[in-house]
Amino acid sequence: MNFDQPFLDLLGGALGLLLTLLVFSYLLGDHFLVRLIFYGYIGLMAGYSVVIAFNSVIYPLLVQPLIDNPVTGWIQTAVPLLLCGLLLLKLSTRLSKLGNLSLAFLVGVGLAALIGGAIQGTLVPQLSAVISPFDLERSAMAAEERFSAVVQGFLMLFGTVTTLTYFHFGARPRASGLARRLEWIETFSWIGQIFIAIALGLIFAGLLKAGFVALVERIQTMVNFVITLQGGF
Amino acid sequence: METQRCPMCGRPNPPELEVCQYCQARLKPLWAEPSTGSSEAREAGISKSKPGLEPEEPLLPDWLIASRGQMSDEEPPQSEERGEDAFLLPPEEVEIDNFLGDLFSDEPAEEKEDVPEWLQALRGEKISEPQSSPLSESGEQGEPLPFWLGLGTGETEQAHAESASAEEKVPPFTESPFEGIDFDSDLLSLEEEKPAEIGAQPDIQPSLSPFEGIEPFLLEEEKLLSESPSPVEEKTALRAEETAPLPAEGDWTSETPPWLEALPGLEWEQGEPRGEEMPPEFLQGVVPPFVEADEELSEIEFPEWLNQVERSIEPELEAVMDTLTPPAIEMLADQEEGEIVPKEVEESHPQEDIPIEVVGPLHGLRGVLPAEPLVAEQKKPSKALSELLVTDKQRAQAELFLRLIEEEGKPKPIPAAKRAKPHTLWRALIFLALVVAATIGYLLAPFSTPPQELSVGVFDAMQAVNQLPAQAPVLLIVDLEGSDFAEMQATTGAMLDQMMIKGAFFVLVSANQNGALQADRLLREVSRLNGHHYQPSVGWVNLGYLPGGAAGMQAFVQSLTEVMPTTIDGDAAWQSDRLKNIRTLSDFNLVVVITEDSTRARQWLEQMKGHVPVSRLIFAVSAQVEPILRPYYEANPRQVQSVLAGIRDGAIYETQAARRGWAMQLWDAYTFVVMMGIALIFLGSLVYALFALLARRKGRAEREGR
Repeated sequence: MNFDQPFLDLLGGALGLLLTLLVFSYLLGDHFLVRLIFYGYIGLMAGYSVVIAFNSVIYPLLVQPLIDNPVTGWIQTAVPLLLCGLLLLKLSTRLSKLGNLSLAFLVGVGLAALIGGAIQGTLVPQLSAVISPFDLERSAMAAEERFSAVVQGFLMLFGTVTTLTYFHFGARPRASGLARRLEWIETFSWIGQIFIAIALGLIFAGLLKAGFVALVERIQTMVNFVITLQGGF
Repeated sequence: METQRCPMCGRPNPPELEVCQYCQARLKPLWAEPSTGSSEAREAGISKSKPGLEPEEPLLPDWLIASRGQMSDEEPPQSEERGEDAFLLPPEEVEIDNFLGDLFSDEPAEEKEDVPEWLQALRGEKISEPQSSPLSESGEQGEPLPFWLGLGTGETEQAHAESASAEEKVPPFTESPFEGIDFDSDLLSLEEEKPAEIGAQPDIQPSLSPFEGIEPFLLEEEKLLSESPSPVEEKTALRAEETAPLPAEGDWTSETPPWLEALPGLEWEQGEPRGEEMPPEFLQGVVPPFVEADEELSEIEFPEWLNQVERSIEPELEAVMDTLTPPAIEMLADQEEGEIVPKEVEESHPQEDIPIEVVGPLHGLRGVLPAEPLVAEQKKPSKALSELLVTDKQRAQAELFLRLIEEEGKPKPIPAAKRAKPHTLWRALIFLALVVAATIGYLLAPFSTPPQELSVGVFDAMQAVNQLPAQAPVLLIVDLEGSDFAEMQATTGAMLDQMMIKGAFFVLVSANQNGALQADRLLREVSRLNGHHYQPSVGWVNLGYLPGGAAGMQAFVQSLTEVMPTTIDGDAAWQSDRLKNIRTLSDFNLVVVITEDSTRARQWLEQMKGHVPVSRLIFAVSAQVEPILRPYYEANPRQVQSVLAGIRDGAIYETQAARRGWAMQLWDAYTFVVMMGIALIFLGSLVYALFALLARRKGRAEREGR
């Protein structure tokens, strides 16, 4: 049974239009068809992830070396196989403790990578970026630009300090029994909330713009499909 | 088989046991066995007083044997009858030596020294004069013999039972005429005032009687009864002859002895005509005669001391009466009428409840020492004590408190949670407005001018792309989900188009499982829209999914050829002519990270720090990631060459490159939708502010109206 490409495009477009409309119908409330689409999407993604994991990780890194060269392949894959076997013991309630070794290895390596990368790639460079506007000698800007750079530097420093102060939750008990932060910390925290609100507002605006783009793309696709149908008929 | 019986439960036990195997009572007393070399007189006395004593039993005093014999079914010894008779005889005729004095009358002085003083005190002996009897001593010195000491013998127990029954019968008598009179203190004062008169009453010697603490007039009656042959005496004699165990509780508590029937209180209780009852002889002249019920108390002349007492307590009584509430007055009236009678008064402890001493010299005695259960016996407080005298205010508060407690116990219906209204209509209207705007914007395009200004990020990206040599290898890290594909295509379309123009060779990798598929789709779409003929393995190599998260990124950055040796199709990735010189990340002419996830963008940037020259690193991200990456880009020194964010930068890139691509196709509709969105946000804020203002005015008006 052969299908030509225009028919497949038409079928794909119709299916896409139908699924899009059903997803849009979620605005009117939750119903069976919407849930069917959601469940189908989740199942499809899970199955696809399994296939990808097997094709990209398990087979080339565990199976393929054993097939290509069993002797060296066992040596190469002994430790990963052992760790995988121990991790599978997590399924057993009696032997699950043995799987902690693999889990500790995963968590330890992951956290080491995250912390090291955060310090090296974010913390130190960002601290340096906050300080650098006040280094007038290193700045190659003109004199009139230095003033604005210093002002900008002060603003960045102030925003950084107040934002970090907002996340300081240490408090001392007062005579009234209530635990409150110091007054100057409260003030800085309140100012820090403004900077945080601005940042979150920017993120929300970006999220909204991304959503608008997706909506426009979907509307455009549906309109094109309808136009194509009109042209066809 | 030789056995020994338990003194408590009476069951047989093996002779070698010291503790009863059934009730754990001690079978053998703790005192030492008397030596065989005891005096003959003592042995004679013992054999005389208790001939039936078994040879293995310890030598016990006859009063103790009599006490035991009273509980057994054996014939009581003669001494018990004597003792009982002596109890009923006048005190001066009692043979006191038989009470306790026979015990150690022949003991040598050394043995008497071994007896502790407390035991001698119990016996009533004077330490300095051991030969004298306790009763005579007490009679001479005026120290009464403790009443409980008489409980050890059968005579005293019976007498106590009779006195107890008499006390139980007494309340009607004592309550009405002598209510509130403390005979102990008052009579003592009378003795001091009239010693001659009291001395003239030879019968009043409470110390000689076991009825210690009983009202003197009862003793008077007892004396009269003891002098004349009465049914009680006959009854006790009959009991002594029968040597039966103590009668059942109902026998002597339910039946009223004749001597008690002669008491005036009982006559009242039986409804006999109340005549003028004369008080006992010792109270004549002090207490007025008992009057008829219909006689007014005010007509009687009370003694002066009683009037003084009445006058002294009268103000306090009036104050108390003022505080009494009607219910309290009713309760007190009920008490006066005798309706409230505590049950404890009516109940008497059965003989079986009184414990028997099982160890020590008092072994076998019942109720000699008040046992702890008897002393610490919990009694239900009388109703008069349990009901408090409360005022109206206190009663109202108590009722309020009770009502609060009852209400707390009642289950309260859980209020239905207010669910937010779905606002289906509003959502549908907003969606409809946006769809209409997108449709109109797409159909009416081009009606808006493309963005002309050149942003710094686009400029830096264009500069990096323009510096690419021909056929340069470019690493594309694509971490995309399908939902953001349109935006990312619009953002990167123009840049990728410029790279394709230069013939760049792309190496695709993704830390997202869907990323590899989306990367392939992205290049296909860009190639198709811009008229290129890029194909897999010719125009790009897809390495596929990079597992491990941040750790995988780090490993890939450090040794990409080892971590990702093959393509997604399983072919060798790094052996083609265009990639054979690639060993590290810095060997790529350009590294572009395309993602809509801020976390992944930050992780890639952090892990590539120091492994990729900043001038070769470009981030093309979604508009929502821009605030996160902007500090890395605007820092001094910057950490990335450029950041392309959103459809706007893509449209600018296309405008600057003079290539109408995907971004410009969406731009008109996108602009229209964004304007519609801004209008809706503004309109919604205005409506909500209006509603809030109206609600506030309404609330203020309601408060002012109240």
